Amino acid sequence: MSFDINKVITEMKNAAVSSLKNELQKVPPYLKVIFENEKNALKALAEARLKGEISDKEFKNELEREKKVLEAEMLTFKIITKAAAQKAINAAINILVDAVKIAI
Amino acid sequence: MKETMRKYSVQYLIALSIIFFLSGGCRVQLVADYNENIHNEIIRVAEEIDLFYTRLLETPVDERVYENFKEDYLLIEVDLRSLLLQNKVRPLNEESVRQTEIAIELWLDDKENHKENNSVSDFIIKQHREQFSRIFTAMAIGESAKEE
Repeated sequence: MSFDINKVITEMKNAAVSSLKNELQKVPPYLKVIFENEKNALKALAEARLKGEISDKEFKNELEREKKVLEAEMLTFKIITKAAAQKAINAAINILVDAVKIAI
Repeated sequence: MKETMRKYSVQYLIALSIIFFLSGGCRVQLVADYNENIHNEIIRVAEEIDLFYTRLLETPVDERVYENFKEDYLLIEVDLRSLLLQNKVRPLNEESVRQTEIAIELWLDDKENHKENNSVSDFIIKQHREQFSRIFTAMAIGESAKEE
């Protein structure tokens, strides 16, 4: 039975880091899109209010709606982060399990 | 002494791993499993809402009375509540549940405002169509992220 714990731990760490890098690379492009969309929405709202296209009540209501839209978008980051952590941990565990299977 | 302790630690780790492996408990779960049906349902409801706003925008302003769209509001509300229920029954899915709750809150707000004003301006239609598109895109990306 051969089991080099140091080698296994290094491989587990590498698997976790590689998985995390792969998963989290989706975050920056989506974040850019979200803030671009938000900028456009707020710009349109400000212009509409200045032109009198919408009332003050509508303007305030629209701002509240925008907050909720942004909240929904941010929740996606929470899901992506949790899923990335899950995949990284499982990638590391798989390395350990494979090493044990080979050793026994 | 140190060597003996190290040997026992390694053995303990191996034994623990074997127990985990054999019991099938060697997988950590932090988010709900990916569900293709829900992913498809998100896309379907998003299309339904997009069609609603596009039809509303095509309708002349003086014909945009609430009564003409009441049925659509109710049908979409039911579809949104169904999506909420499907998300609620999945463990580790609180983010998707909240996203669907937000979609329902905005939809009910739309319905109430349309009922109160008995019309909707082009500007509000375009803004709200975009808002729902963003929410449903977020939901779809979130669901896809759960895929192994």
